[in-house]
Amino acid sequence: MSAPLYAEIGYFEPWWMQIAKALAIFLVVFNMVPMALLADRKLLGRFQHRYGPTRVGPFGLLQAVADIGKLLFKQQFVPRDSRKWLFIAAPIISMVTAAATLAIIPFSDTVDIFGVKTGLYGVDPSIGILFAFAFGGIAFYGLMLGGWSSNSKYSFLGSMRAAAQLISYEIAQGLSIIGVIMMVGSLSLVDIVTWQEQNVWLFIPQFVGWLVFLVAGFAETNRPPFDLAEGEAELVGGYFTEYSGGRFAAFFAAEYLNMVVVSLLFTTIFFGGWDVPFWDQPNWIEPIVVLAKMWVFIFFFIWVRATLPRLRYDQLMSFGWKILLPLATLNALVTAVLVVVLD
Amino acid sequence: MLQIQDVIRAYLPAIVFVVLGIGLGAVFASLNSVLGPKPKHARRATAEPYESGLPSEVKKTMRFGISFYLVAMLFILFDIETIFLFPVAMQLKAFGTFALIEISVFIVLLFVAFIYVWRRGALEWK
Amino acid sequence: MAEFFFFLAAIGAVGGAAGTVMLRDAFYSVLALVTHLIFLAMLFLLLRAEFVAAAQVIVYAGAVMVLYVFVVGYVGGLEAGLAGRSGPALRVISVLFAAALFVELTIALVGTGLEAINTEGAGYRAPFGEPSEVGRLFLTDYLVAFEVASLLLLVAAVGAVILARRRSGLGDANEISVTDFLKRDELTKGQGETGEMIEAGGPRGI
Repeated sequence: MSAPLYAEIGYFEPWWMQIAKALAIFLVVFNMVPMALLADRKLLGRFQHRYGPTRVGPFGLLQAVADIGKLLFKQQFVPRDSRKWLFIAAPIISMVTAAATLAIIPFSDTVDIFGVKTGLYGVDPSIGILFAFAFGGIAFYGLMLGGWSSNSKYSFLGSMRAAAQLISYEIAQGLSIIGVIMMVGSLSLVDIVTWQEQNVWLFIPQFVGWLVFLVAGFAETNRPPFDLAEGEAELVGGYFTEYSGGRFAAFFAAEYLNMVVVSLLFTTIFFGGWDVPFWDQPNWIEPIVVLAKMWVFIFFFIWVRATLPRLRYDQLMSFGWKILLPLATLNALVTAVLVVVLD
Repeated sequence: MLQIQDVIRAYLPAIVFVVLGIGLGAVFASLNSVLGPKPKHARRATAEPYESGLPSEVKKTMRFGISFYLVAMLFILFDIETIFLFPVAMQLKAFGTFALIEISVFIVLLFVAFIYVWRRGALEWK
Repeated sequence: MAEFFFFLAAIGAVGGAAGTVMLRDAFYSVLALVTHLIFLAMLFLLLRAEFVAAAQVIVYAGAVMVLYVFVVGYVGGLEAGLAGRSGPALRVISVLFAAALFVELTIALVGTGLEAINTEGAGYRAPFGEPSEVGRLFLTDYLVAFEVASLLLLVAAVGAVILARRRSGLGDANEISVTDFLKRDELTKGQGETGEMIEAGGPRGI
């Protein structure tokens, strides 16, 4: 159990390296967003015996770029009777919370870059995973304000659904991690990955916790089959019905960024992060390993979207409260007993 | 002895991420004013709230159902439970059986609360 | 650098608090309170109370304020205002209380002798404020408080259910509840046709 770097020996990278690594991580991961967008459309097409986009660029590879470009050239306006400043602020809040959560994802342990010891992660605070939950809590306001400030009934219904859904699944998500914390004895994601390197990937001993976290992760990102907040069949677009142009793009990008970040969390907490079992991998390959594992989960997200129908709202609520919550609680209890007995 | 500057240094990358998020969000939220068309005569229908063909009725007084109140109440309770469990779970190995008993009592009491809430039908979504 | 972040957080916190009191629309008040809580968490973080800062955001900004949002959302946009009774007497009393609070805080502040004002402030020992240290304290010094908290939450769960009148299923005529109270209020009268938007979640329930 190691305390974070700075608390132990008072070491940080020089400030320019801190900024540089943050920029690098953000740039690389944010570029995954249009790729995930494209993968979503392409794979959905294949799942439904279509080709998906093929026209823009070779094999339709530039489709996502074209989409964003199109959106940015739309007319800018604010719907009548909306609360203007909240309406503008809402997508920004969504974007900030998605981007900030990225800061705690570790891509590798401390490595040498130009002779500077650098941890390949944004921050590694002692609150670790709680950092992600804190920003997850604020993300609620992005969706909520987006729907409320539009002053349209579809947006309003969408934001109501989003609100109740987010808070219902947040508890299950938090409780499902408790077992991991008990086994590792640290909240730091770097420590969690290091533990998995030395022992075993956590999805094996924490299988139930992993399942709960996975399902709650789907619900927290508003991805199908938990996309009732958008529910285009009955709510047009849910909380972003009234949004158009770049502001819509911001909501959309934030949703995909959330999906990317949650995939990274799955990878880091339960699937060994940068670790490759039975191989003493070189440092430079570790970020690639993390991203590769992340793509497996993104593929899984899309696969589920193509396979499962959307839940009904009361099913969604009772699934979160009556199945996931007790399951996560029992998982924490059983893990506590096992950890103490086996220790 | 570490001082206040060290906190800022420790969290500097996180600040960069937040600033990038704000910047990118602001760019997305405002770029249309620069790139988008600016019609000379704004059409009234453009800014109408969406309604599929019918005149849209905008009401300032849309309200939440009371069910949300209960969900939020229960959410607070179990959220506090979770946040209490995090630090204690970290110490489970160090304290061994003692911590196990304390955690068990804590979880079981809240599980009783959960069963009560369930039995009273508060988890039925109406 | 340190001063910049301190004043950013401090001004944000004070501004949020002022907004909470001064804004007319209850919804904006709640949002101002959320802002206040987030900046307060930032102040905690600057004091190296990392766990408290995280808990502040997760529990207060992320959970308690959600309840506030729902309650304000339930009562509606509040053009009528939740102003309640206000009159000269109430104003005088509120000014008196504010003055008393100010005096009390000033006494507390001056009472410290302002010793730390020209120093670097108290030093920091490594595990202070970290979750592991908080956990250790929960299991040693504050064990009773920790266990009583779960009892308190149990009682709160009972209270929440009773308040929402689910104690004996739906509709026991002898029970009075917040639901009834709010429904009876003039605030919601005459707006029946706006609906409670409860249809979002299925059949109408109350």
